[in-house]
Amino acid sequence: MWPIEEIPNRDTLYYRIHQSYLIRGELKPGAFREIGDSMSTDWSKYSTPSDSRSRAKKPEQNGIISLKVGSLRQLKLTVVHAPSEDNKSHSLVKGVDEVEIRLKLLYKLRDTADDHIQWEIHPMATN
Amino acid sequence: MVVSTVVSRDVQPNGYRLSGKANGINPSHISMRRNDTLLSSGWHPFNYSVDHKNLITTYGIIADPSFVINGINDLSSGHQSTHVVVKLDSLQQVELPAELGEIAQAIEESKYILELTDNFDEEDAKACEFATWERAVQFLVEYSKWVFKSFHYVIDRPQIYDGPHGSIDMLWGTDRYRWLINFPEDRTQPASFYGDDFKLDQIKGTFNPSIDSRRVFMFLLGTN
Repeated sequence: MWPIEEIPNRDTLYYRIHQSYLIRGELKPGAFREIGDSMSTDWSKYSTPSDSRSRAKKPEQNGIISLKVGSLRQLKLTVVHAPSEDNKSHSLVKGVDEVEIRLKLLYKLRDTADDHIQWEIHPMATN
Repeated sequence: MVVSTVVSRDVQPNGYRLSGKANGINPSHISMRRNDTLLSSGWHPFNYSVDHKNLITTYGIIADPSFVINGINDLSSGHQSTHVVVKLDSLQQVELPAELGEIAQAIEESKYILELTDNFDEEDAKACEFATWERAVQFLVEYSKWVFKSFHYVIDRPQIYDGPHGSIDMLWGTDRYRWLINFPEDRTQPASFYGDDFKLDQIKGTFNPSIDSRRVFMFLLGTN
């Protein structure tokens, strides 16, 4: 098993978004959701956007966004490294389900001038 | 009189030809609104076909629009149509003043939610049940009607989405404010909301959408 490390604020997490979370070209706020008690992501230290996408059941139906760890912590979200046997990069973000957080994450992603959260691979993009 | 909110379009050399049913009246003008809300609604003269009882008009603009009919002037009676109707299912429907046509359209467009099935995202997402969607829609209908009746003000049109864990998200976003309400699947739990004006004004909390909580949302009357 991999050791648990501290994730620095300057690093990035990759989050997978299925194409069903887009409608009429717009991302739904429900795209940001916790499974269990946290949102599952991959740490950039051990993963690339492509790696993260390839972990989906149907990679071609998924996109990847990047989230700066410091920006998430500014929103008072908890970010922890939680490696699993087959994914050393696996990391958790806790507190995402609150409406305030989901709304702010959505707007940060929509704001093209804000590079703290942005698309790395768009769901509509083809390989 | 019931007015269809569905308007079909044909591309013509000088614009778009729009058509829709009007229950066989003899109309003189229709009030239309584009779905992007950038154009204000207004009364537009048009022709109609007696044989087909259809409204037909040509609206010469460049962009690719879709429209909703807000109202129809009845030439024969001199009365303007007053309501739009949205069917929720085969048994239930809601009725809104014609001026709230965009709210009706938002509800119509949200019906995609009812077609989602569990695991629609390949990550075990839970589909939304009809009762949850209906609860959110009924809140929107009652709230928008109350505001219109009380202040003669048409609230901004929200987007209605499937939310996390079988819930419904209702999102308002303008250049003046942003606002998100979440209606959970569990009816014993309150709806939660957050809104701000991108500056210092913000509000968040919970409310029971099944009872009179309308005054909580005065924020949606605008921040000007």
